[in-house]
Amino acid sequence: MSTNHSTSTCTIQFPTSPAWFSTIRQLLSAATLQCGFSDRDSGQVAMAVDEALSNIYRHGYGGSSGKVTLQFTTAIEPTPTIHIEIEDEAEQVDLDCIRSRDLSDVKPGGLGVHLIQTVMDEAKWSKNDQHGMKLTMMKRSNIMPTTTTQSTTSNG
Amino acid sequence: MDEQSLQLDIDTSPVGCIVTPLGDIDMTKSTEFRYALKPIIESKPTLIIINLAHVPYMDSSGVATLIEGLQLSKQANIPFSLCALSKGVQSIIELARLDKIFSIYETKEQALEE
Repeated sequence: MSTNHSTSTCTIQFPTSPAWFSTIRQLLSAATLQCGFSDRDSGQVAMAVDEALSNIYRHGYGGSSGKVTLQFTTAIEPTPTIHIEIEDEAEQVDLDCIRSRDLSDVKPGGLGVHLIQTVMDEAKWSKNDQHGMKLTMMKRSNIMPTTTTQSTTSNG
Repeated sequence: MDEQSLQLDIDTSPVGCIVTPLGDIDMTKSTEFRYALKPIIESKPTLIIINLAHVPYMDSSGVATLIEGLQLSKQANIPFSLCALSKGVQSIIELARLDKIFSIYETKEQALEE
């Protein structure tokens, strides 16, 4: 993890085994809380990453374990913000197929993309040059960082 | 890494069946949860209450299991409700716009009264 004043970057490579997902959620929660996100926003970022990883495991790697690289950068100022990139080496998916479904049709499944697009400020899927997909996401916290103001006392 | 199996407390009485999962319900647990719910529904209890007080986090596969439970219960004419949602579960239920689809109660007692 590298830190430069108010920004920190973390890169982690792991297999898409669902056994890892809880650990990744905890990592994202800790990082976002540390940079000033509310509990609610922090939980939503962790959920978006969890749903993205589930989709890669299920649809990209067809339920088998494959390699995933997760990189995120948090910034405290001017507003707590997180930028996330998730890259896999799975079979490429038609970008038109990645979309939210009609939620008025109540049925199990197909909620992941809707959840990601709803909780993140930006979410964009793209194909890598040769193989694999990349998901780029960004979320800004609704909470402004606490600033320390200096008061000047005049004795004159 | 989390590889523990799902812990479930199942309280069956003439009043109905209260199912209390313990811990997060994500991809590693939702299939087990689905397999646990099916025989409960097939046993045709008076009602089914899923007590989510001890589930801090649920992903979309857990939500899918709840939808499936609701649909199977409806087919069998068994009232199916959720109670004591944690903030994490409340959040995903609302984001998935399912808060009007499920009967949701603040407490187990309120769910039993209905």
